[in-house]
Amino acid sequence: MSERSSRLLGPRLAIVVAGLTLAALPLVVRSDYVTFLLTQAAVLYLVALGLNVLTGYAGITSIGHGALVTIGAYALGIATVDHGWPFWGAMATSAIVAGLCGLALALPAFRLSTWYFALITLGFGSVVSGLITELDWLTHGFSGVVAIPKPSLFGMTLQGRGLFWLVAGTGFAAFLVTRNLIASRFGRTLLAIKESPLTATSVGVRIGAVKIGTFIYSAALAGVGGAFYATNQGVITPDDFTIHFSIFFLLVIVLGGLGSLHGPLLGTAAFFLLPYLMTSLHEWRLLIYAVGLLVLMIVFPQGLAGLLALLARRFNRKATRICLAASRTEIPSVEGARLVMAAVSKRFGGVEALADVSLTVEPGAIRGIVGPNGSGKTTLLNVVSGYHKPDSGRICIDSTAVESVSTVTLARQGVRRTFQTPKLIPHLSIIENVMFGAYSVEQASLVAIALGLPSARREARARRAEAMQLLRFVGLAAHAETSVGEATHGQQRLAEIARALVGRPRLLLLDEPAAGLSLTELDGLKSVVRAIAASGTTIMIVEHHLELIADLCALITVVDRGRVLKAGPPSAVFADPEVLATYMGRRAIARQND
Amino acid sequence: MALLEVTNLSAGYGRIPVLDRVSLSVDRGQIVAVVGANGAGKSTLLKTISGLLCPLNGEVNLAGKSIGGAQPHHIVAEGLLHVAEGRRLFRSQTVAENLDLALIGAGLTRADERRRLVDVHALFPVLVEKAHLPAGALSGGQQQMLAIGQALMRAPKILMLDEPSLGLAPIIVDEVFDVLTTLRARGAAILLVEQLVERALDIADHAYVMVSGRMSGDGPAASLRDSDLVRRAYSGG
Amino acid sequence: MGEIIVQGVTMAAIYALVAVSLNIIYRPTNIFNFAQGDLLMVGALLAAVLSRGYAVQWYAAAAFAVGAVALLAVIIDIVAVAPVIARHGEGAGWIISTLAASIIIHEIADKLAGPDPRVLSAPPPLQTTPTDFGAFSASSFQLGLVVFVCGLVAATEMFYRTRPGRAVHAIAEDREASLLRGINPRRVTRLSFAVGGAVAAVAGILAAPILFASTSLGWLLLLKGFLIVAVGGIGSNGGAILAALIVAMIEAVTARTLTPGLQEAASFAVVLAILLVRPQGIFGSAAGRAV
Repeated sequence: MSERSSRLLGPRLAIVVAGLTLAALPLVVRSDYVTFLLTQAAVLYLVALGLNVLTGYAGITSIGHGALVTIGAYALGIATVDHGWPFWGAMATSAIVAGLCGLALALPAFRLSTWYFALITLGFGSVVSGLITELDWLTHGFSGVVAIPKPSLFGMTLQGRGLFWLVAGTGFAAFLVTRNLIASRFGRTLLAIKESPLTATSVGVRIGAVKIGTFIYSAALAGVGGAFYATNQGVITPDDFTIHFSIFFLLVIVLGGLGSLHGPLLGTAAFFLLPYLMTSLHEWRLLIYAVGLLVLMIVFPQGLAGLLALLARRFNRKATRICLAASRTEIPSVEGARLVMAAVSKRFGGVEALADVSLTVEPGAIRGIVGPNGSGKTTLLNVVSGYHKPDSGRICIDSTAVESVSTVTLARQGVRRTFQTPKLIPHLSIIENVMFGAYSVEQASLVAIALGLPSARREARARRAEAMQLLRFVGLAAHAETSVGEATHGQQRLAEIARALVGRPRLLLLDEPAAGLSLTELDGLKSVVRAIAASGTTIMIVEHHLELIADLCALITVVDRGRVLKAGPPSAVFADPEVLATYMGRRAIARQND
Repeated sequence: MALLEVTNLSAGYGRIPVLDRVSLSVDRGQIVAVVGANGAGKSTLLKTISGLLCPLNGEVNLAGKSIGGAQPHHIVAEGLLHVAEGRRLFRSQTVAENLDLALIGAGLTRADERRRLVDVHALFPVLVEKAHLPAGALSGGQQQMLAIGQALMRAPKILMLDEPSLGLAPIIVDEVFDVLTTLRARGAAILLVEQLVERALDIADHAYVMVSGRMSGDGPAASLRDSDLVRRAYSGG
Repeated sequence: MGEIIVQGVTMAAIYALVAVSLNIIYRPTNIFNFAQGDLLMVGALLAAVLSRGYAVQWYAAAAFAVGAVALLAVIIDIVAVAPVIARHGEGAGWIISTLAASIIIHEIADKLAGPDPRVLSAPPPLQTTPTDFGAFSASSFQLGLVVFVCGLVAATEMFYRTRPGRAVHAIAEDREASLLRGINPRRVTRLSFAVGGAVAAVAGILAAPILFASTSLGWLLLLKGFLIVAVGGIGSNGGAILAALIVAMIEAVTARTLTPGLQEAASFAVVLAILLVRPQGIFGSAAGRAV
């Protein structure tokens, strides 16, 4: 059996077992009431799954999902009871209407910070609750919608067990789709949006578009959940949908573990088992849940999934496969870009960070930028990569005027950078972080990934291979599966460089790559940078380590207090008295000359 | 016994140690410099002494009293003031407000407060002119003066500065260092972390060299000036 | 017409009080306390129960309620806010923890006090019965309320110009720099929670004569409070007053034409529109906006 398929056998088997268990569950259970509860649990799971993607992965706290479920439920109820629509058409309506509401909610999410947004969702929930009772010509007000029909498939009415299988089946399918999406570049994007938005923009993510998509997905699932809720209950009234409805879903995902794939399942199971065990405390249910939520957030925010992961790690020390270091591989060549800066200035308040800076870097060259701390080196890099707009002057990368395009567009055009402190996605492995660099060049569509189509899987494999090749190139192949949190500083640096190399950048900007590296690591860095330049990429390095720069760069620009002090080959620049004075101090020079 | 005694201090971020058993001492009327490359741990050292970071091991004693692990505002009350890297001022407040804020919790009489302000104004006349401008509107050099002025409002027993020359013109650096020598003449104790090695060694009495979180050596500033120790540490290896 | 203005201004005063209490906690911490509404509710209920149920003198009952709520607010800081911020740093975990705190307080109050609204009189000697002033009629309570709120906001703004007040801004601007200047951020935050809680209790106590003290008072006013700070710019008390007037006037006008549910939807829609165009609120500063 090949390595690849043996790696997949474990999870595939688990999924088959899970599917069979779900199917068998209602056959084991005798009581109709318990089956009804199980269906409720499946509905809860569906909604929690969607909310987890939004809140757990993307980090957008929504306290309004209860309202989306309400909308889905009423859409189904009204469509089937008042207008005689068939179940499936009505359910589609639920999904669509809820999805549209999700889209509407996404718009404020762009402009507002997280807690503003959370309150908007809270307000939304309150408004929906109020409107449900108000618009009684539509919603039947307090009497609610009754006699909601069950779905029918191939002439058979699905109720009891049949309904459970339908809902659980939908949940199962949704899980698979979610899993496929999370494992792809979209999952990484969500984590990046939550933990390190700069990382996302540096690889070309359009954060806005991704957020909108996430909202719609999460909302549509809630809507479908609402539809199932309505048909399972048969009757829905405004009392079913209080303000605290949304809190339940939040509790479930926090309990299960925010941002973990199996969190919603664990949370739903715990949520449903607990009341079973504490029927005598039914009245205090909400209070107990709230206390639990508070304790979880403070003490154990990773929830049940985190707990299980901790235990798994204790009992299962996986032998890390160490690939014997292959010789440094080649990377495909590329046409390097030409960078021209003309009279660029930038002010921050009263401080002139850049004043009238001009320089030209020819394609394929390595340019060093040096200067004392606070001289404006990093601002220079930020201005070239589009993170700051210059107050005056022009910056051209080939024919693109940097001032007129966004950072994201630049990243997509092959301008990549690293940061002073490596910006990686903390909970992922090194190779997953490197694969993230392919974001803007990946072809597989959202749908192909969601459905796990062969084309998407093929591309994922190709991207993984590419990432592996780049890791071999920078010498990190042995640590591909190491989690970023456990990687050393030097390894993180190289990983960030490898990520920047995905998609063959034309211009690579390195911000103090040598900081914190040991002597051997410095040697490794030197040869990597040389090899990158040899493949054609134009490189600009901001550095303090003068020996490294002198070794690597044909030309060096010295900046001091925002101005270009000197530019030229290392031998000339480092012998220049003015440059020496900047670094050493005028008095020292005077003493030297005595 | 020295005014500030640091013994075998280890500290770091999370579980990654950045400082490894570092020792130094500073006396009254003395400027002690700590030099080394970027990433050597100089800033971490100052942050651990001033309480922003918790030490993993070791001791810090100020005038015989142990302050290792104490809360930063208590350490300020004990008379150790840390002027942080990058001139951390309250940019939205005016120069006068920034200076005034530095007196919080000092428990001085109105007269004493006025006297302190006069002293600081005497050292940094530019702060009088710009008193009503927001701190963010000052130039780099003026901001550095303000930051030091803030610390001096507390009449510290010992003053620690993290790279005061950052982004300043040599002339302004001259002015700042002149202030430091004046303070030394008045009996102050100063711990200076600097990237401009020669400058620092010019005004320092004693100097320590840090490499990768450890002290690689120390000695009278004059003798360190042309030493291998400094050259190696500085070129980052 | 006169009635609408009186109604609007009265509700604006209450909303402004709620917003000010939110701002007091926001200024040092950059946190919007989701449990604020429940603090308000507890203040109102405690005062009502003591003064009506136990015949305690009004001001004594009010003082006790304010003190108890201030203490409760500090507990929220200690239990739900400080540990979460310490653990999660830049994250928004405090949203969930303050939400949880809100539910806990609400549930306990519900069990102890029951859902029925209670009556709380206006602070003596003020009355809620209106007097005719010709063009409009207002009660002495309403007038007193407006005067009190204006005075409180003025006093708050004056406080923030003093040294301790500026220390509050300092810790929000740069916590590390504040530590190095001898400021104790934890103490400043605790005090701000206490004062913010106290003002919330006062808001509840002064809202009760009009809106009645019940366990649902909290959520209602919390949402209103959010609308106000969103429009007025979080942290700005001046903005809060203006925003409160705008929202309260819209409500007073639409109360004639729309039902309560639609009214809520209308003000929500208006606020949302304002936020989409100007995320920092009409009177907020752009610097306060986080993306």
